[in-house]
Parts: sequence; structure tokens; C-alpha cells
Amino acid sequence: MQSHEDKSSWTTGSILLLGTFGPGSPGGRSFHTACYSALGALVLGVLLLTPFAKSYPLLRWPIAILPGVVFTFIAWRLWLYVSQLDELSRRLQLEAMAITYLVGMAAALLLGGLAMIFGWNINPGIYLFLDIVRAFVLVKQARRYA
Amino acid sequence: MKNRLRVLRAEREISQATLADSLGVSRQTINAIETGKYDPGLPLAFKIARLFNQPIEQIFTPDPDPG
Repeated sequence: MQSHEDKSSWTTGSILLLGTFGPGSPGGRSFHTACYSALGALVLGVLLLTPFAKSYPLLRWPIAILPGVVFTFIAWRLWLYVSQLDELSRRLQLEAMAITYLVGMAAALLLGGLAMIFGWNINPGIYLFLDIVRAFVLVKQARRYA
Repeated sequence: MKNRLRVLRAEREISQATLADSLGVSRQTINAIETGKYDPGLPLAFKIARLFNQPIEQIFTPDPDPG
């Protein structure tokens, strides 16, 4: 047996960059392809529609709704990906999601309260940072089992 | 929970990757079980027992009761 087998661990770079255990499995490949396609469609859609939004105000609707629809799709694909993982990988992903959800709730309540006092206009896009939180939690959880 | 997975694997000269493929799990999962950092669920434990053709209690044994 090879000695390197005893140091088996998930690739930190892949977890931090992609938030998954990488595209090494069929489920992983499918998830990443779906994500990149959805993000590509989002960027392309917004870039194509934005220049015409001033002349045609109705175009503001798809521009406003597209990010939410795309990220709903990505969330659904992530759920499919997680359901295809083996039991330890799935447990790590679900733990990371649970912790991120709690961090998100706390951040939303804190920022929402402060926004009421100071009259901040908070862009919901900042919650995309939660995926970075999820990736860091995933790295930390994965190291526990490495 | 203690287990004899590493010993059983060594006896049969199977790599972690091969065992992981046979069980449909990742190599990291096999490693985590062997190092005692993760206790598998019942379906995986039974799969392991079936693969090595041994009763489950001969592969996995509980830690001594601290009380």
C-alpha cells in the first residue's frame, strides 16, 4: 500500500474556489457545468438587457428577477449534488450549510436593525458573501476528518 | 468506535481507493473511518461487513464504557 493513502484529504483550493469537493465525480462535474452555464446566462442576460432598460422600462423586470432565478437554480443543483455525495461528504456539506444559514440569519438581523437606525440602503447582493462563509466552514469541517 | 478496517484492507492488499470504489464512497471517507475520526452509518457498515465477509461486530467494536 502507498504511504500517501494515510494522508487522504480534500483539496482546500477546490473547496474555497468552488464551494464543493471538486468536479472529480460525475455529480460534481454535472453541478459545475450547470453552475457555470447559469452564471454565464446571468452575465450575458444582464449585459444584453441593461443598455436598453432606459428606453424600455419593462426590461428592468427581467434584469431585477434574473439573479434571483439563477441563484435559485444553483441552490437546487447544489441540493442535487449534495444528495449524490457519500455519507461523510454529505454530512460535511450539510454542516457547512447549517452553520452558514445561522451566520446569515444573525447577519441579516444585525444589518437589518442597524439599517433601520442609520437608514442604510443595503444591497441584497452582499449575501453572496455567505457562500464564501460556507466554503471556509467546509474547509474547517473537512480538516476535522482529514 | 474502534474498527479493523485498515487491518482487513492490508490483509487483502487493497488500496483505500479500490475499497472506496467497491463501497461507492470517497477515499477520504475510508481514511476517516480507518483513523477513527468518523463512524460510518449502518448501511455503510453493513456494506463493509458484507465485502469482507465478516460479522459487523468483528469489524466494529464499541469503545470501552468510561463509566
